Amino acid sequence: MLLDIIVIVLRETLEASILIAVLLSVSLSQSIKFSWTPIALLAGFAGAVIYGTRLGAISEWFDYAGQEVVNAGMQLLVYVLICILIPLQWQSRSISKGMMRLLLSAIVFIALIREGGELYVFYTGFLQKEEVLVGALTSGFIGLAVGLSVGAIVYYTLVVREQSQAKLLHGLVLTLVAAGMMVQATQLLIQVDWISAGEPLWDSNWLIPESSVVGQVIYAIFGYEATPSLVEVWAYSFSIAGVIMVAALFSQYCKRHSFISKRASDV
Amino acid sequence: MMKSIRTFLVIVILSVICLSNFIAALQGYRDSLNAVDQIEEQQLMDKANTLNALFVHQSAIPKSVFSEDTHFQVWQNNRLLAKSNNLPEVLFIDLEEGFHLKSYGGHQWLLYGLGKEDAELTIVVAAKHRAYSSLTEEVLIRAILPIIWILPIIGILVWIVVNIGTKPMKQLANKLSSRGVNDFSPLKSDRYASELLPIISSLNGLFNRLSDAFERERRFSADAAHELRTPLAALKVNLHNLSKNQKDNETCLALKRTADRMEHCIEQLLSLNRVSLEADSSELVICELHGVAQEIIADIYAELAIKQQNVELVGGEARMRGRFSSMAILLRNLLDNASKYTPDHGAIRVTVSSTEGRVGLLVEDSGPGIPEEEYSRVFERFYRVGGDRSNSKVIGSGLGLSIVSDIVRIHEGQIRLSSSSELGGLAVEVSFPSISGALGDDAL
Amino acid sequence: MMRCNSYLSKVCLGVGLLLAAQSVVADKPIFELIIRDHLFYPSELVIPAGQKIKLLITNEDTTPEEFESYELNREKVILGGKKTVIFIGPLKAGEYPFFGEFNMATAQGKIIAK
Repeated sequence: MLLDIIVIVLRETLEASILIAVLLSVSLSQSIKFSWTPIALLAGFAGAVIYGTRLGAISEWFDYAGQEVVNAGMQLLVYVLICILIPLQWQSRSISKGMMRLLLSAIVFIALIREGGELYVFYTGFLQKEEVLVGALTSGFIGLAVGLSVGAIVYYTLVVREQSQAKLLHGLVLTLVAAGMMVQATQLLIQVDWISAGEPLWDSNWLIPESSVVGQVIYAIFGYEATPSLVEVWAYSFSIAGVIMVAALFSQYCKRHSFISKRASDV
Repeated sequence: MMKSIRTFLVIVILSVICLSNFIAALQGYRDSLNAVDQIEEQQLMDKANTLNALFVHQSAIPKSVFSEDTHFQVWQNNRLLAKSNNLPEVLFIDLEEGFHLKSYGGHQWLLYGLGKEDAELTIVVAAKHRAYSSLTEEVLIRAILPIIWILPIIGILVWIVVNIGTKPMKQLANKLSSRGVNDFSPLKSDRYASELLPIISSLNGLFNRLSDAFERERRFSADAAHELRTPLAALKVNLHNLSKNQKDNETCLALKRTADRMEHCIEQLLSLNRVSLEADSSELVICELHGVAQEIIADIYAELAIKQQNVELVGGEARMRGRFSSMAILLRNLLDNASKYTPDHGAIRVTVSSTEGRVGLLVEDSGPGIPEEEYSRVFERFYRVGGDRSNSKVIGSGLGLSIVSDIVRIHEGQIRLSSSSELGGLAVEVSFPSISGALGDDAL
Repeated sequence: MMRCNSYLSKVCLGVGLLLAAQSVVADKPIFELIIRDHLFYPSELVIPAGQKIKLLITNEDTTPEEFESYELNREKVILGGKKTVIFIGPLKAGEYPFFGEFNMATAQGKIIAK
């Protein structure tokens, strides 16, 4: 039981912890102070509690599809925010710094609501069994520690890079994280039959079992799926293409914009 | 970019310990669970085979062959032949051959069905699934928990170890900051850890280049000054001859003043050079400032008498460790300055003081002083208050206070400019670390 | 640019219609799963292979449970005393273990597609 609790808390912590690690590294490389972090974390925890308490009612929306639809919606939102965040890295204007701080906070906030809400529901189950509550909290602490350890390692792996390399790496990791989220969202919608999926295309469980530690880590980072259906593969590809397209459009817009402002200043 | 190497090391090491422990524990748990599952399955199969053997040989089977935790049912042609005492309400009639999971009676049971499809006889044995898994888990949790609790202690230990590990860096920094001003000698590389050697070797390269550049600059100004001396001397002789024939010629007098100024400038350049040369070569001796001041005043008394300036030397013995000639140059410059900018009949006062740990030298005059905003600039080389156009009667090179500040820096002293409260002119206050009087009576 | 957009939207619309048509047309058999005392009843559920099914899960416990399966790619929290619906399949014939993540030690089961 206790080990299971560690794994549950770890699974939920892992994803948020890795995402936050990447965002902190982005923040550091943009020399944005970490002051946004505690506020976003606190807001996220509060949001998680509220989401957790409302989960019963939410579950019954859309003919019992509420949980999936709301979760998928949050993931889509995070995807969109990450799409905007990635190209902003290469902008040095002060307005993009303020916008970045807002984006970073928003992503952490939503991610925490999603992951934290489930943990909150999980722990309410223990409130009725006081004899195991202490053990459950201890195990939860261990799970949290392990999750944060992975986050710390990810953070330092990114932070020791050269500045230009770090930006590229941030872009890459964030793209994969965002695409992974879209796959999860697709899966949720398949689960409630909002999207129809065929039989799995392949089974890579022999290579990396999805239930293994490595499988869980790459599930958390890249949305690894051992038995994906065609729809999920498309969702993944389109999501990556989407990030690249937004980045390309954005850089083009910026080029034109800076050209105009340069001409204006020349006059 | 990493903000702190120490934090990085502590956090990453702790994270790795935490992770590897957890993964090891999880792997151990899964392995032992698998092992237990295999034993469970083996036991079930054995039990089913035993029942089968029993049934074949004697048709009556005792109702409690096994312990309470094991259930069985024996079927023949869809008829229940026999079952265990604590029989479950569920009938396992349409069970296929092999292992199955089933929930009943508030437990999860592992079932094993024996008997091929065509066989008449089907034997089903059930045992509580993973009855001992909580035990396995408890053993593991007890193994992980201590490691988690001692993580903070490991953290502190790592912190200490990292501190010790980074000590060579601190030592190197201390060594560099305690170096003499003009000390460009290379660091000895055999005294440092191999990780610091790249830094040491690039520092040594830097020292080399600096030392060369420094030497070049010094030699150039000294050589230039020397080379200028000879033509200047010739110029002065010619001027002297010229002025003999044409007395009271304004142009001649002006030329002479300019030549004097040039000579002064060259002398100052040479003494600037001498000061920095001395800083490298000559040993520190014990200087007594009151005595030095007396000598210098005696030297320039003639000039002071021309301007009818009143000089006063107050205070007593003050010993410091320094270079005698440097101190003489310092006092000479300060007194020259005071005399130059003080009008005729003015007053100059030199105060030598000795307090706990420091010796002080205060030179005040009754001249116009220097505006406060110029205080920091007057130490720059060739800077003159008011620019070159000012008071052309005063011979000055703009090097005097620059030389003074060099000497003060080399002797680890301090210099401060202010306005003299009593005489109304400039007050230059210099102080050096003193030595206890007992040390150097014989050294003077 | 404009043309590209309209083409994209047409494709999206087409895919959307296709998906909608599929999910409406399919006639989905309903199966039921009950959670009681952190156990699944039945713990082995036989469903037809190659067909999408609707699974109705009722949690009779007072504590929440999470229905989860790596093999089925399903994950859903069911609060105490609530019920929920998920769709499964179409599956190839085989065994697909599932478990209650909040009570993994007891809540184990598998779906058998035939």
